[in-house]
Amino acid sequence: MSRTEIDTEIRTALAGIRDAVEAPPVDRIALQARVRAERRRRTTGRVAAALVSAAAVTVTAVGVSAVVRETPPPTTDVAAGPLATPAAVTGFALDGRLVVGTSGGYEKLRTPARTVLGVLDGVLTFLDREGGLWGVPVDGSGTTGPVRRLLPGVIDYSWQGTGVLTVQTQDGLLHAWRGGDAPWESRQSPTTDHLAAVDGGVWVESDSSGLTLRSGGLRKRLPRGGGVTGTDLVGGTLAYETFRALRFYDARTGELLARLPGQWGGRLTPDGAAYVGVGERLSLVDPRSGDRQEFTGPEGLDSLVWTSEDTFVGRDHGGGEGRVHVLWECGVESLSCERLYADPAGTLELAK
Amino acid sequence: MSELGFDEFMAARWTPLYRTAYLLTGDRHQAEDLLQDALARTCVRWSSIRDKGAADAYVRQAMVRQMTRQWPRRRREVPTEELPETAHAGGLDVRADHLDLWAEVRRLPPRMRATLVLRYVEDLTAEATARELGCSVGSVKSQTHHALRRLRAALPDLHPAALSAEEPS
Repeated sequence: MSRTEIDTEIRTALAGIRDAVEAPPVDRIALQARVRAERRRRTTGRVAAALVSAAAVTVTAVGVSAVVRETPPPTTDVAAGPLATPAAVTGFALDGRLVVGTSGGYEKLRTPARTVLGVLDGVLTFLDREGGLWGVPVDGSGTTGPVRRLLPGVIDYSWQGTGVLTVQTQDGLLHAWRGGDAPWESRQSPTTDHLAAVDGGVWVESDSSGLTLRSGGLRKRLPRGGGVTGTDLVGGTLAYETFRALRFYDARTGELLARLPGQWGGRLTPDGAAYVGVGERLSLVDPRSGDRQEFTGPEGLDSLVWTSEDTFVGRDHGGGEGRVHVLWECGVESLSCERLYADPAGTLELAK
Repeated sequence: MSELGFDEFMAARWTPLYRTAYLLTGDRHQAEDLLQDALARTCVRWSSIRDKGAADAYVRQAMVRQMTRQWPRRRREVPTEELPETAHAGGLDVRADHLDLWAEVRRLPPRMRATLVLRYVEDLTAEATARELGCSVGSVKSQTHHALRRLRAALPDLHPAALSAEEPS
C-alpha cells in the first residue's frame, strides 16, 4: 500500500467517525456560566496582580487562593467542608453529586447533579448533565425525601428562586411549575427562534443576528454591544448584559431605564426590583436609576442562585478549575456575605 | 457589511467544532466540556479577534492546547483495557474496521491523538501542527511516528501495510 493510500485510510477512518458523531444542542446555560467564569477569571487576575504588586494583601488561607490567582493549585488533602450553615436551604454539586445544605448541616447525596436551580415549594430542583430535571423534597428540619425525576430533556430554564419555574425542553415546549404537587402546565414556545429569556407573556428571542425583546405588540431589537453575555427577565424588568455594558429595560415598553458601562454578570432579584451582579465588585444595582451599592465580602461571585426573596448564594471559583471553590451566602438587606463551604478540590458547582 | 457576531459564529460552527472536539477527546461529555471552555474563552476575547474568519482556528487551537496541557494533569489518564463510551463508539454508523482503528486512536495519549487529528483530519502541515500544539516540528514528527507505531502494534490484521509509514504525505 502506498503512502497516499495509507494517508487516505487513516483520513477516511477519522473523517468517517467525525461525520458520524451527532452534536448535542448548545447548552447555553452552561456556556453562559463559562463565559462569566472566564470573564471573572480575567478580571480577578488583573485585580490580583495589582494587589500583589502593592503588597497590601492580608487574607485568610482560603482568601489567598481566592484572590491571588497565580499561586499553584492547592492539593486536595485539605479537607473540604462546611464553614457555616446556610440561612436558607441551599443545594450545590460537589464532584458531580448533589449536596443539600440546611440550618442543620450538609447532606451529601449520591445523586448526580450539574446545575442547581433552587428550592420551589419545599422541593430542591436540579439538572443532571443530560438535561434531566430532578427534585428532592427538603423539609424545615433539613430532612430530604426521595429524589424523583420531574422532566427529561431540559435545554433551558427561567427562574428566580420563587414563583413559577419555567423550563424549555428539546421539543421546544415550555413547561411551568409552581412546585409541590402542582401539575406542570405545558405550552408552545412563543417563538420559533431560540428563547433567551421568558417571563409570562414577555420574552427575549435570539436569532443569528441578535436579540429581540417581545411583549404584546412590542418588538424591540436590542443593541449587540460587542456580544451578548446574559439576559434576565423578571417582573417586567429586563437585565441585558453585553461586553460593553449592562442595560436595564422596562420589558413591557422597551424603555431603557439605566445603563452601566463595562462587563457585568449577575441576576435580577426574585421580584425584579433590583439586580445583583459583578462588574468590578459584587454590587446591588437599582435598575431604574443605575445606582449601586457594594457588598462586603467577596469581590466577585458567579453562578448566583436565589435561596429566598432576599438571600442568594454564589461561588468564588478562585480563578479556575483546580482552585479552591468557596460557596458564599449573601443578604440583600444587609449587603454582606458569609462563607458557607470550601472545596479545595475545585469541583463545587451551582447554576450553569 | 456587519461584523460577524459571536452568537452567529457559534450557531454556524458548533457542530463541526464539536466533532473536532470529539476526535480530540474520544468522549462525548469531555468533548462538550472542552468545546464550551474554548468557546467561552473565544467569546470573552471576541472583540479582539480581528479576523473573524479565523475564529474556527482560534477555537480549535484553544481546544488542542487545553486538552494536551491541562487535561492530562487534571485527569491523570490511566491506561485501561476498558474504554468509556463503548456503546456509543459501537453505535457509530461507520465501517467496522474504522471503528477498530478509532478505538485504538482513543487509547492514544492526548497529544498523540491531537497530532493525528490535526495532520490527518484538519490537514495541517507538520509546521502548522507544531504551531497549534505549541511544540517543535520534530516533536510533531515524533508524535506521529509513535502514534502510527502504536496503531500498527494494536491492529496487525487491519491493514498490515497501511500503518507502516511514519509520516503523512
